[in-house]
Formats: sequence, C-alpha cells, structure tokens
Amino acid sequence: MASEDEEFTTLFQDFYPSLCRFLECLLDGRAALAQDLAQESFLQLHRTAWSKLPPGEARFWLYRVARNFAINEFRKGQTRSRLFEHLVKVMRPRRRNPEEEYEAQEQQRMVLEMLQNLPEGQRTALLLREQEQLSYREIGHVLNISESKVKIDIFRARTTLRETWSRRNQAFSARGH
Amino acid sequence: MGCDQTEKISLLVDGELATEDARALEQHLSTCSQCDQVRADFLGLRSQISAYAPLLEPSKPRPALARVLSKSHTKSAQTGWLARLLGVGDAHGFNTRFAAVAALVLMTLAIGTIAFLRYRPQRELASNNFTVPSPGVSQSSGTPEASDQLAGNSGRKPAKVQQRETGPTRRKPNSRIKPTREQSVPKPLPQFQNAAPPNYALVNEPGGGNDPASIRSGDTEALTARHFEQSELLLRSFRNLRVTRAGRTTEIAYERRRAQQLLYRNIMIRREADNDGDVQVATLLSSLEPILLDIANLRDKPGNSEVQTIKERVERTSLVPLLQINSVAVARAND
Repeated sequence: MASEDEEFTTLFQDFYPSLCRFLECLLDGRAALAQDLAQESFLQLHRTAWSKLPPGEARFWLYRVARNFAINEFRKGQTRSRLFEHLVKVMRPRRRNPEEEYEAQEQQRMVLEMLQNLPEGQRTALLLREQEQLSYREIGHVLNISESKVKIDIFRARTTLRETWSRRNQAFSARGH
Repeated sequence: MGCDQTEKISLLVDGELATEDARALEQHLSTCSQCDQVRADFLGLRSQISAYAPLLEPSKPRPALARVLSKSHTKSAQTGWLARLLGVGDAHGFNTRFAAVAALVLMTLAIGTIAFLRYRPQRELASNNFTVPSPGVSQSSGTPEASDQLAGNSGRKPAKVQQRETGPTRRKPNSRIKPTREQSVPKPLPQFQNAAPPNYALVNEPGGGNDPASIRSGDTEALTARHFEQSELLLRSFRNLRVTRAGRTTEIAYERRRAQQLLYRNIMIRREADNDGDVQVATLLSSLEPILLDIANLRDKPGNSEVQTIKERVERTSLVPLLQINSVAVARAND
C-alpha cells in the first residue's frame, strides 16, 4: 500500500506541472482553472483507477480524463472563474525588465490565440505532441483515435498555424513599414 | 507549393517517418528551399508552443489530494516542491485539523489587530485634536503593500504566521525576517481564496510576500541543490553523446524529455531566486535556461552540427563545473 502511495506521489510530482500546462493551453490560458482540473484528474485517478491500471498506463489515463474535464468546461460556456482568471493575469509576477516581460506576455498571448483557432481535437493532438512529446501511437491511445487520424490532425494543425503565423508576420511588417 | 511534401515534413519533424523515406526527404530538403522553410517553420512553431510557461506556480493541492500525497514518505516527496506545497517535513504529514485551527486563530488575531489599529487613532484624535496619527496606521492603510495584501498578493508574512502554517519541522529561524509592528499584523485572508477553485498560488512581487504555496521556504536550498545536480548530470550526459557515421547523433529522446522537465523547474527556481535577490543562483539559472530550452527543442535524432553548437555553448559558459560547485555549496548551506 505504502509503495502504491509512493508511486502515486512520484507520478504527481512528475506530471502535475505538465498536466497543468497542457490544460492551460487547452483552456485559453485560464491558469487557475487548469490547476483545479489537473488536481481533479489526479483525485479521480486515485479514487477510481489507480489500483486497476496496468503499469505505465496512468499517464495516458490522466491526459484523457483531463481533456474530458476541459471539454466539459467548454460546454459550460466558459464563464466560471473568468473574473478570477482576469485577476490572475493582472497580478502576474513581473520580471525585472519590463520589455522582456512585455515580449514574453505577447508571445504567450499569441501562442494561445493561435491555438484557440484550431478545432479542439487538432489542438489537443498537437499539444500532446509538442509539449508532452508523446508518439502518434500514444496520442491515439489517449484520444482514442487511430494513428492515421493523429497524423492528419497534427499535420492540419501545423498547416493552419503556419498560415496564421505568416499572415500575422505580413500584417506586422505592413504596419511597421 | 510546387512539390507538396508538407505532410511528410510534418512526419519528419516528429520522427514518425520510416528511415528510408526520412533519408530521401532530408536529401530533398537540402535542395528545395521552400520545403526547407516549411520544416523551419514547423520547428519554430514547436519551440513557441513548447516554450509556453504556465501563468501560475503549482498550487497547493486540495485537502483530499494532499492527504493522499502526504501518506507517502519517500525522500523525494520530502524534499521536492511537493513537500513545500503540502507543508510536510521529515516525519510530519499534512494535518488539516492543525491547519484549520491555525487559520481560525490567525483570523481572530487579524480581526482583533485590525480593529485595534482602526479604532485607536480615532480614540487618540477624539482625546486630543492636535495629535498626529501614529505612523503605523498611516502606513498600513495607504501603501502599495496594503493594497497588495487586499489583493491577496501580500508582503512577506511575519515569522509567527509562518511558523503556525508550516508546523514544527519548518521552524528554521530566518534572520532575514524581522517583522516591524506593521508586518506583524496578520493579513486578512483574501476573498477569493475561499471561493472555488481553492488554493491558488500567486507568485509574489520581488521582495514581497510569502504565499504558502510559493517555493520560498526552508526547502528551497534543497530543491536548488537537487536541480543543480540533475542539470549537471543532464549536461554531462549530453556532452558525451556519440555521433554516428552518417553524421547523426544517437537518439536523444531521453535528454530532450529530461531537459523539458528541468526547464520548467528552472523557471520556477529562477523566479524565486530573483524575488529573493539571490543574484548568484539567478544568474546561473539564467545561463542554464537557454541551454535547456535548446536541448528540449532538438529533434529525436538531431544533426551533429546542432548538437555540437549546444555542446560548445555548454563548454564556453563552463556550466558543468559551475553547477557542480554550486550544488555542493547550496547543499552545504542547507545542512
């Protein structure tokens, strides 16, 4: 029992931060909600599936459940805790250099904006690939879709993002000169 | 695009293309600038997405989750960021009853002290119209620190409060905390901490507060030392990567993943060091960060030149010996 708890703690330590980041990107940067859902996913794992899952499966289970929670949030209309999220953004820690801070914020905002323009399935597949470095097979396992669907989703997501990116750059250079 | 290899390029950057196809495509990329640009764009997008840093530090787990996590007494759980979030020490678990009692006592103290500070000047004014209000009162009501406290982003908590929250194992005397009369007033709990979702950790302004979920605690040195040690191991392992005859480096999936994990932690500790004004640690971590980012963004089988460039930067900045020296120094300081 003790070793099971230790394993669970290790899993939490290893994956809680990245699960939060994954959810934050899915939820348009709503950091506090992302942490809440990440914790809910871990609790759910411990309550329902921890003792039944085969070794190595817990990580995939977590991402699957976390994604379902995120989808539920989309359905709720994204109103809950918006005010809190706003507060969080206002009170974000500042770096020493305001320019650096501004640039970093802009960069983050742009990434989130671009990701939000993708269909949910493509966005999730791309995040699991780029941030969590899961293979196509593993992504398919998490999302319960075939490898070829993963391949197409990621390809389409990248193509869309690339187009958006180049449009932005063109608009930016047209404005600047 | 004329040659329309975009889909294959997407597979190539993910390492999902069969070896033969990958070789052929690499050859094509060396001659077709358009396709090469597509690959560069895909990799650029990758680094943008993977460099996304969460807005908040990891928050304190909910009580139910904290109970589960604190059952484990592994060494890692005692020394990692999780231990700080849970408030566990060497032999003490998270005790919600203790926390509840402590919170109740703190709130009572806070209300009492605020009431005292508010009514006292009025009494003084009433008794003597020419009495100047005490400096403590004027400072506590009008300074930015006070507005920060109301916003839940308060200044450093007093030592008494810290001791109550962290339990007996974390009562390490901190010479830097010398509360003035104003600082020793326990802050009112911010409104939104009680609303769902609970226990959000906000990172404090430089020189500012001491949020329970913040990294700042007696364990910071242990975490920093461990981080230095792990980063040093990663850089050593990266330095020893072999190059195949074809000019490719052997697979570096492990190094990449490790770098990503360390990068996240690096950002957290660096912010913490910045806030604490620990210039030495902050500088070292700032020079480590771009290296970790570059390793994290490499392909599974990167070209020799990419790896070599990073290796040279590691050598040039003398990061390995610096990390080694600092990990020992920080660990000793912690002892």
